[in-house]
Formats: sequence, C-alpha cells, structure tokens
Amino acid sequence: MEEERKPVRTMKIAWYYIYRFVRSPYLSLVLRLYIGGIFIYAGMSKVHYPGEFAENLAAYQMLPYWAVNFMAVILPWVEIICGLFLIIGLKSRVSASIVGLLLIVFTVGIFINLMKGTPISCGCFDSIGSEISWKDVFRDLGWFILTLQIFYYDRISFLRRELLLFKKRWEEDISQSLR
Amino acid sequence: MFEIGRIAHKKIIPSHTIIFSQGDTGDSFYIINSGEVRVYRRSPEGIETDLTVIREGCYFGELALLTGKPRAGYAETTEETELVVIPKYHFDRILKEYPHIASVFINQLSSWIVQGDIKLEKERERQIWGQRISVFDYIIIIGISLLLSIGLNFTNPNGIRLIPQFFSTETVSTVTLSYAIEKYRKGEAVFIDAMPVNFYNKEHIKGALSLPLSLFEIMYMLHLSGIEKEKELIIYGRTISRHYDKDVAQKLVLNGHKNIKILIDGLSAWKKNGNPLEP
Repeated sequence: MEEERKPVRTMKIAWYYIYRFVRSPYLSLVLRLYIGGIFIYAGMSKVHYPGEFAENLAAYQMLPYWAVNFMAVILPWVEIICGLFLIIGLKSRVSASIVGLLLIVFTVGIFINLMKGTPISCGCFDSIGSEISWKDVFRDLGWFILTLQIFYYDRISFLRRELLLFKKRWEEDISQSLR
Repeated sequence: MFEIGRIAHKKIIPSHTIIFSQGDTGDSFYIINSGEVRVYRRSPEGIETDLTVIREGCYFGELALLTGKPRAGYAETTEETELVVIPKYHFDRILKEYPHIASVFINQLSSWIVQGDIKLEKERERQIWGQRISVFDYIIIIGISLLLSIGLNFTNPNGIRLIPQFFSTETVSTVTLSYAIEKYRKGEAVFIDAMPVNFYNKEHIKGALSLPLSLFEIMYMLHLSGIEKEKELIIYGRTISRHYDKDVAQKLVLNGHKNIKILIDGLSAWKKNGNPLEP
C-alpha cells in the first residue's frame, strides 16, 4: 500500500512546485526582461529604415494602402516603448497586453500568408530576413504565452507603483482636508 | 479629581528629551500640563514612524499600563514640557474606583482600532489600484509612441511619407481585362509587372517584364531604354497594401512615356480566365 502511494505523493509535490513556479512574480520579472529585450531589439532594428519596413509590411497584404506607411513608422516605436516599460516595470501589465496583442496580430499575419503561400520575408527583426515559416508562427505563439504570464502574475516593480497614482492621491488629500 | 492632585507629582522636562523608550516597562501615566510630546516607533533598522503628537491637556503612556506589556513606542518632548506623572499603582486603583474613567480609555482604544483598519484598507486600495489597468494607460503608451515616431520621422534622413502620395492620372488610363487580352494576343503592348521581384519570380503573365520600384533604374535600362515612347505599356501589380502599378506608371511618365495603361485587376483576373502564366 505504502509503495503505491509514494509516487502519487511525489507527483503532488512536483505539481505544487510547478504551480508555484508558473505563478511566481519572479518568473514574471525574468520574462519581462526577456520579452522587453526582444522587443527593444526588434524595434531598434526597424526604426532607422521605415521605408524598407513599409515594403515588408505591404508584402503581407493585410493593411490598406493608406495605413501602411503610418504603421511602418509607429510600430517600431510602440515595440521600443513597450519593451522599455516592461524592463523598467512601468505600467508593465499594460505593456504586456499591447505586446501580446501585437504578437497575436503578427502570428495571424504570418499564418495567413503561409496558407496563401506568399513569398515574403518575416520583417520581424531585420528588413532582409529569410522567408516566413512555421517556426515564426510557433515562436510568436510561445512569446504570446509568456506575455500572458506577465499580464497575470507580475507584481514586482523597480518603481513604486502607488507613487504613480497621482489622481488617487490627490483625491485622498482633498477628502482629508475636508474632514 | 482632587485625588489626582494628591497622588501625582509634577515634573518639568527639557526640550528633546526621551520620556520613555520602546520596550521599557510601563510604570507611569502622563498628563501634559504644558508643552508638546511626540510619540513614535522605531524599527530595528532605525526607521522612525510618527504615531501622534500630544499637546497640552492630553494624556499618554496608558497603553503599556492597560496591556501590561512593554512600551509600544518612544515618547520625546519637542519643547520644554510640564508633565503630571501618575504611577502605575495609583493608575490601576483609579480605574477600579472610577469606572467612567476606564470607559474613556476604552473609547479611545477602540477608535484607534477603527482608524488602523481604515489605514489598512487605504493601503490595500492603493495596491489594487496599482495593479489595475485603465484605458488611460493605453492612450499614454500609444501617445508617447506616436509623438516619438512622427517627430523623429521628420528628422530621420530615411524618413518616409506618412500618407501615400496621390498623383494625377491624366496621362495614365485604366484598361479592362478583355482589352488587355486582345492586345496580348496581337502582341501590340508590352506587359510590365510592377510587383516586387519575389512575387514576380513566383508567378507573372507570360512574357511580362519585371519592373519593381526598388530596382526601377537598372531594370528600365535593361529592358525599356530602347523602346519608343509611343509604344503601349500595360502595367499590372496591385495589392490591398500597395498600388505598385500606379507608382511605376508615375515613374514611366517621368521618363517620357506617352501610352501607359494600368490593368487594375491584374494577375488574379488574368489567372481566372486561364491566360498564359510564367514560370
């Protein structure tokens, strides 16, 4: 009897630690640095050459022609700002949600073009990249799951978040002075 | 009250003197005749937290006497202060003999508990608010990105137009598929593929020349420099994201070509009707 129950108990303990690991805010911190670094790198590689990035975006054939250039200019900066905010922990949940949304859009874009068989390069990091492949889809999906972890379990901030609640503090000060 | 006068003694304490320290045994109760006393806690790391400032006519030092535990904080004068000191023995006796005085202390202590709870609640609210997400946050992040990107696109030597340029299409007209097919059969027009090279390599109208914008000069020199300007050119190649045909047509107009036509539906319609393709 004892010998049968022992592996069950080990499994339970293992699950407990896996559960704790997945929900750990320290894991969020590490993931924030990782995802933030990737996005800063991705944004920086595109930000100097909006023209080439615009051609890459256009090749996806997802955006209307009047929005392509605009997106090509703003998208690298959204990536850089979100990456930066993730690393310094300023509004990191908001940044994680924006990054997650971008990753979903990228995944859908690559997926559709893979299905259509369009001969385009990813444009994810460099303007001269290899052709899109299923690897890119799974890579983006993997990163998306990491952003979910950050979104739900991130608690650690190098900055004190409550100090940034200017409006709330102002309201409190007023109610205190009226008392 | 006359009894207090009998059992208590007055004591004058100079400014900035500690009356009792955190952890001391509570032995007396104090009433302030004049002056001011600051009550604070100090953590092992030396962080001081002010609890309250007690002024003339108020009392302090009762907590340790009521709980029987060591002093919960420091009491320090901020100016020269005259105190009425009541020793613990007499304090206990007064509480027993005058229950209404005891009830004053009970009221005071319970209001402290409520205040503490409210503080806890405020702290918790702030934590929750710190985690909360509002539309405002998204506006800020997108706004910062917008400002930076548009601002720096102006100064970037590689900057691009944010909105596509529209040029007049007077010299360029569009043609229908049937017209293009007829011309193709007779061999009266040159077909030009304006799509990027990789799209051209994948599939194009049989015999069409590749003339992508990025390689315009070289390809033009190679294929079209010898052609007369009146020769009919039919350009195709358009996606939802880019009107390659228009851009190339504009360049050809600048190069002096007079007879330029755009086949709007381009490759997809061509393919549907089963016309010849390459490769």
